[in-house]
Amino acid sequence: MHSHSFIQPTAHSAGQVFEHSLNTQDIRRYSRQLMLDSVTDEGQAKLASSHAVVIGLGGLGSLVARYLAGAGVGTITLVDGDTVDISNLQRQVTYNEMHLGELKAKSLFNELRKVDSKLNIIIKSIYADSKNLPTLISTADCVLDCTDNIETRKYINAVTHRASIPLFIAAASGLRWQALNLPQNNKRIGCYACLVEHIDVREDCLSKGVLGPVVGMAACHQATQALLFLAKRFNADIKWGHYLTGNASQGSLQSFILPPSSTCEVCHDPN
Amino acid sequence: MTQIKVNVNNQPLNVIAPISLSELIALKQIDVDGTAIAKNTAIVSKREWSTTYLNDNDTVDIFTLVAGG
Repeated sequence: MHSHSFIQPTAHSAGQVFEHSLNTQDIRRYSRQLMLDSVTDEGQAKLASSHAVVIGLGGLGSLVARYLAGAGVGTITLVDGDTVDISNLQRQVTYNEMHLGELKAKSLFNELRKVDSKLNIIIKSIYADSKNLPTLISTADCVLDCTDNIETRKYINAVTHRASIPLFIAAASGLRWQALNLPQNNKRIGCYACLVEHIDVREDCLSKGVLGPVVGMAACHQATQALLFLAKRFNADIKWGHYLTGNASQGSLQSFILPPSSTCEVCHDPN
Repeated sequence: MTQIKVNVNNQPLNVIAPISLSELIALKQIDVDGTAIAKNTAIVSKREWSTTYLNDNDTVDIFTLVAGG
């Protein structure tokens, strides 16, 4: 049970119908999204009762968390062991010079509290790894992979697949961004391990650089997909298992189907 | 041997069939590190590049996977 107080749901279990009422302040706060068919007041209640785990609080995660908080996701877990460095400020727009040297999770916690003091924000100032991930995500309704390295991304994929927790992935490098929504319980859809199987993925922000808004484009897409899912769960009108590639200089966007690999160590089920 | 026309990254290309994705990559002299390939908008596992052959009018998209955040 979390501490969000603006909506009073009668049940917190996934899939159950919520009875709720919005007070005047809530209606003002969320008025712009309540008008959307993809949210409505029922979806707003679901957002309030949702738990999203954001792993990595850099260019992707810091912005994603800000959007989730603004939209009223009731419980948000922030996971990152890193501190704010001056080289982060070019693209990690939630931080500023006042945060230099601070733990990102703590800095972001303080900023999100300013957005909505009633949200339940859990901070984990640790780097996600294969040992701590199962516990970190155990109560999540969805996980957002906002990390910056391939090994952690593989761990997150494997653990969310084992736990059947939907995973929203985004990445950026140079002027390109990419994203993938994984339901993690659909045998017709591949997983992240299927995508990177036998591929030596090297492009990250450290080696190839990145323009700040390009990471922002990836983060905005990722947050949008997660919010639509949390508001309507598997009735949400989003695409699962499509690998999206964006080219910011060309303004182009392509979508590719990701089939399951018959040799995938994570998702292949011989039965 | 038959000449076929394929579309690679939005550019038309005439090639001699049979030609696999691996052979196409070699022909185009593309660095395979970090590279993913989609044939007719479906991603093909790297393990299957050498056994996946192109047909006339196939579309191939070759792109680099990124991991930064």
